[in-house]
Order: sequence, then structure tokens, then C-alpha cells
Amino acid sequence: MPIPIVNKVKFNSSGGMIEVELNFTTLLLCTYTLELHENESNAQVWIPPKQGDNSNPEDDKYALPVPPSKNNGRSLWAFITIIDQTGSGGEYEVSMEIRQDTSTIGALNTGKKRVSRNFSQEFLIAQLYC
Amino acid sequence: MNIFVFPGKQIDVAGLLMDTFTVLSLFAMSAHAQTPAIGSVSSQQMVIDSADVAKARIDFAVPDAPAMKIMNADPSIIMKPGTLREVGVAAANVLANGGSLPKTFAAEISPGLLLGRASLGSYIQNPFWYRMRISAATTTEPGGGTDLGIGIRMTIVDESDLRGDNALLNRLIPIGHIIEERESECSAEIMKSHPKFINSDTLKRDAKEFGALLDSSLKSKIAADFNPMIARAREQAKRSNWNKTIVELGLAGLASSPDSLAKNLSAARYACWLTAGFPVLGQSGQLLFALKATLDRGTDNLLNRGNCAIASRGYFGENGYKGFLEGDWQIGDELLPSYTARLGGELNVANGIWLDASFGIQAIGTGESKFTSALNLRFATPELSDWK
Repeated sequence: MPIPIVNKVKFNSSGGMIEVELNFTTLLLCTYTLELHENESNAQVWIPPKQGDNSNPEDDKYALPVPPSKNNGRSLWAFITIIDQTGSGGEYEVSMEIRQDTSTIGALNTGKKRVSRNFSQEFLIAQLYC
Repeated sequence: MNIFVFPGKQIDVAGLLMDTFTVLSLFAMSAHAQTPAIGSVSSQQMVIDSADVAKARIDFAVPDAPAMKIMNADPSIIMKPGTLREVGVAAANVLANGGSLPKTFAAEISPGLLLGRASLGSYIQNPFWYRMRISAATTTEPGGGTDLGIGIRMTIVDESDLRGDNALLNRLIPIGHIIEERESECSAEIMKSHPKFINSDTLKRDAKEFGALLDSSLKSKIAADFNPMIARAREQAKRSNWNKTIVELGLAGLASSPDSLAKNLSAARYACWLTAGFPVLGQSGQLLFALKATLDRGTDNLLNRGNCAIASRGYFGENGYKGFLEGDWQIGDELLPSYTARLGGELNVANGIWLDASFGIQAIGTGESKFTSALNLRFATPELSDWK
């Protein structure tokens, strides 16, 4: 059951660019869809949403719209699918880190879990405010 | 680390180990069983249901650990290669010992997986260090002596590894994104029908309630469709990958003690193996070429007795059941040249359980010959996916 992990993240409206990065600690295949939602709305800012996976060495890092104040009240929704590509199971840990300038201003973490059946789902939500 | 293997309890041990050491591979291979009694096989009957058999066919064969191979527990000189397994593998020579406690144990671990914070991207980029495995084995001789083996296995090429299999990943990645898109749609629907969740404080407080609604909404849309899709993609990849190119190098040292005291251990043998496997006959065969070199303690009590051997084995069949034909030639100091031909088979008898049996004839020197046989039972942590 994908219970959402929700956190509020405070940022500096007059600071630098806000970035979000997903990190995957696992040899299981992880794919994700990252959405940026308007304040208290299902409307999305990124169309299409950002999608990626952990099978390549590229960073899974995205910049939020500037100026940062535009993001007040918006929320980042990360839907993550962890797929057991070998059939042997395994552990995973996924985190979403939000940074402004060089500082980490918020982080959400699934904790260490074991993939269930063929795939597991994780749902991380970061509510941004200033 | 203690490993306890009891006759008939191997699966429980493997399951326990899987929970405790997720990146630990445990090997305890059946010792060389001269003329094994068929009756002893039936005494180890295991309950196998048809679903298990179906799942077992997508299981890769259990590889050999160098620390075990150096003990010559198996008549084959080939160090059978195999893809790195995250999960425990255990077996015992219960068939050879008539059901008594096994005398030979081995453990193999991948330090790269145990100590590092593994990531799939870095594994695919630089698999060598992740795939390097260290093994240790011990056996008790009938006279009370103890042998201790230490080994290292380096995988130079492994195209059978599903973790980085591009064709498989390219099939699975779109499935992951479709799952996420459906999850997104379901979440948006729940937000519409339960507007309280739009407030993040409420969502955080009632996350379990939201999760339950999401779960019931997703169940009909996701689980029924995607579980079999993922399992079938994986099964197809395993069937086409089992015989792909693999090259491994193994090094091991053996120390012997006339009793059970560690202080009396002294170096008795060093060995290295090089094994290369290549596909033949499409997906129906694999040809292995192997080299083995050893340095043993000779009659003058010096480590100066060299031996070398070359071998080739042809597999014919599928991942889950295959026959093999093997031949080898061995030569060494204080040894007459010998030639062996062996016929055998490997069968994935149930989910996580492999049986391999072989018999052959060895010609030594000028004409003396003898029959050899082996019956090995190997255990790997069962496949976890119950998608049927």
C-alpha cells in the first residue's frame, strides 16, 4: 500500500534556485514520475512531468521554476516504482532531497524496505512554503 | 558467522539467511558422492507444487565457490560460473552422508554489496568490484583433520546478469512509468472526491487513510495487469540469458590441520581457475572452456607440486534443465596424465533447488581407468515473485 510520505519544506523566497534530487540506494530497478503541483490544486506546473530511472549514471536532479517565490504553496509529488528485475527480491531506500543554493532545505526518505512481489510503490510529497 | 545446515531444513536456513544477510551468498556444496544410492534421493523428498516448478524454471543455476572447489569435493575441474546473487545459497552433502549432518560448508560474500551503498547506475557502469566475491569453506576429514579454504572470484564478463540487461530494463522502465501514471490519476481522483487531502497537513495526518483509498483504487488497475507483465519479461530474459557469455577467474588457498586446532593449520594447496562460457545453438546450448592450475604440497613437504588441467563442457537444454558432456585432461608433477569424460545433467527441481548429477570414466596413465560420479544438491533462496 503506497502510503504517502509528506513533509513541509521551507525555502527562502529571496534565495537562489530550488532543486530537487531523487536518490536510490538499491540494485533494484527504480523508475519515477515527478510532478510539481500548484498550491492546493491538481493542476501541474511541469507538463509533461519529469520521468526517469536509476539505470544510468545521470543525476536525477531538477530545477524548480524561478524566481523561487513562484513555488510558494506548490508541492512536489514523486511516484516511484521499484521493480524486482532479477526475481530475487532485495532492499531499497529512496530519498528526495530539496536544496536551495548549496544547502539542503528538506529531505524525505522511504527508509530501508524490501521489495514486495514484482514491484513496490512509493509516494513522496514535499509541500513548499516560504 | 555461523551456518547451520540440517538435513531437510535447508530452505528454512536459506530464508533466514536471506533476511539476515541480504547480500550474502552461502554455498555448501554436496561432497563428491561415489556411486550415490537412488534411495537416498527419495529419502530427501521435497514437496513441490506445480506453481513452484513453473517459477523454478526462471531461476539461474547455482555457481561454484572457489573456496569449495579447492577441496576437490567435486570431480569436475571446472569452476562453474554464475551471476552474482544477492541472496543466500545453501546446500549440504546430506545425500553422501546418508542424512547425517553435512561435513562441508562454505560461504561466499560480495564485499562491494555488503560494504558499499549500492546503486544500480554505478553497478551497471562498473560491475567488476560489485561482482567480486570472497568465499571461505571448511570441511572435516574422516580422520578428524580439518581443511580450510579461502577463495576469491572475479567476474570479468557477465552478459547473463539481469541487473544490467538493457533489453530487460527497456521493457520494464515503461511499465514502471505506466504504473506511476495510473497512481497519479488515482491520487488526483481521490483528491477530488476527498478535498480534505489537498491540505498537506491533513494529508500528512491521514496518510494511512489516503494510502488505503489509493490502494483500493490501484488494485484493480495495477496489480492484475502489471505483476504478470513484469514476471514474464523477467522470465523471458532469464531464458534467453542463461547461456550468454561469461568469463570468471577464481583464486583459492587451502590450509590443512591434522586436528581441529586452527594453530596447526598449514598451507596445503593453491589453485586458480579461469572459466569462459559462450552461447551455442541459439538459446539451447552453452560451451564452457576451463583452465585450472594448482600447487600442492609434495612428498618432500614443500609446496612445489604443480598440476594443470584443461576442460570443456557443453550444456544442451534450457535454463531449468540441461544435460552436459564434459571432457578434461590433467597433468602434473608426481601424477600420470589423466583424461576424463563425463556425462550429466542439471535440473531445477523446485523453486531455489538445483540437482546436478554426473558420471564418467577417467583414464589414468597407460591404461588404468576408473568410474567417477557426483550428485550435488544446491540450494538458493527461492524466487520471491508469486504472480500466478
